[in-house]
Amino acid sequence: MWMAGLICFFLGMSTKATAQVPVPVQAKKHDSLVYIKMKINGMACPFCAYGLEKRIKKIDGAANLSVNINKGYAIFSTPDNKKPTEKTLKKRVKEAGFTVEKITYSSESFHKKKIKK
Amino acid sequence: MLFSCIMLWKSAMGHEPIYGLGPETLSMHLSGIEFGSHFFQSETEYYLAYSYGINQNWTIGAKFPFISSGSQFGFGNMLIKIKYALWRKTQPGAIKRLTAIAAVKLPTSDRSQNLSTNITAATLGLANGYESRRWYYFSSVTYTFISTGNNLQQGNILNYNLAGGIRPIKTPYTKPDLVFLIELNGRYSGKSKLNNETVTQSGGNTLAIAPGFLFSYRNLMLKGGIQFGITNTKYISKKQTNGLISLEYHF
Repeated sequence: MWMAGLICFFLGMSTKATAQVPVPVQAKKHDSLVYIKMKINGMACPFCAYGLEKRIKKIDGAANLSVNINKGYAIFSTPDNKKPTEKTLKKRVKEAGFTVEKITYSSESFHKKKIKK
Repeated sequence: MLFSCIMLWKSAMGHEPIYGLGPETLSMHLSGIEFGSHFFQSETEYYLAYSYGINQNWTIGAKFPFISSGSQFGFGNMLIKIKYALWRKTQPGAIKRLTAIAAVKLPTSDRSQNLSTNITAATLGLANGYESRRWYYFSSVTYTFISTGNNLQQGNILNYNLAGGIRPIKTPYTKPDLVFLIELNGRYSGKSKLNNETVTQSGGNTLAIAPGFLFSYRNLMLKGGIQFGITNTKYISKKQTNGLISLEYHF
């Protein structure tokens, strides 16, 4: 019975979630930001993807990180003068055990773009 | 006393079988710490495990068990292990991988308490897995060489494991995540030797089934399962029902 109760509790906790919430990373204000969107292959579970979050946070100036595990991408920003190269990004993702399919740089937030549509 | 061999592997590895062995290696410079309890009818093993990702392919770890039986409590046989990702293939929302495992169990148990047999064991194994947003599949095989350091030479052990899992609800990254698992755990034990003479009434097979769950929130995971013995052959006893629960934290 306690096992059944435990399962019900976990299922209840899981179903509470519906929206994609940005990962709480302290954002610093900069005059000019570059927004980076990486399509990442291999992300199967949130717990395993935590290693990726940790690797991305190591990128100099990285902030505003959000991960969408269901669609398989990570979005974050850096100051324009600290924009990481594709090689650096691929290396960071590889260190977490995943691979990058596509990298997109933008001067505009990807979240805002989605809202405009 | 031999149950400590069963749990040779477990130590801070995220989405893997509860009782079996999985192919997961930690991200570079990621650490995992796990505290767990393995409950048997007459005794309980508590353990503290630590794992560290040297890079995405190499993970090292150690497990420190403590055994409690009645009023007795003592240190068990410490385990050191290493995993190497031989192969991995990533897909959108899924990953397949094959990992090699080597582990050594050291005779560190507290002899004064008579809780655990002081053994030295070396294990080699392979684990493969398919993990996706919905489904999980794992299989593994390991071979363990055991030395007890006395006249009785226990037979070597072959463990094999098949596991399947499902994530009923695909929650977002920052929300709680739940996976259910079902495992089939088999073991073949070779014949023992006493003073270099084969003990005829030794060795055999056992098979057990174990439902379990993995519940994670961000970098914290609670996991647990119950194992039921299904069958046994020859001179090996059917596995007694046992439960396992642990808490794992990655940082």
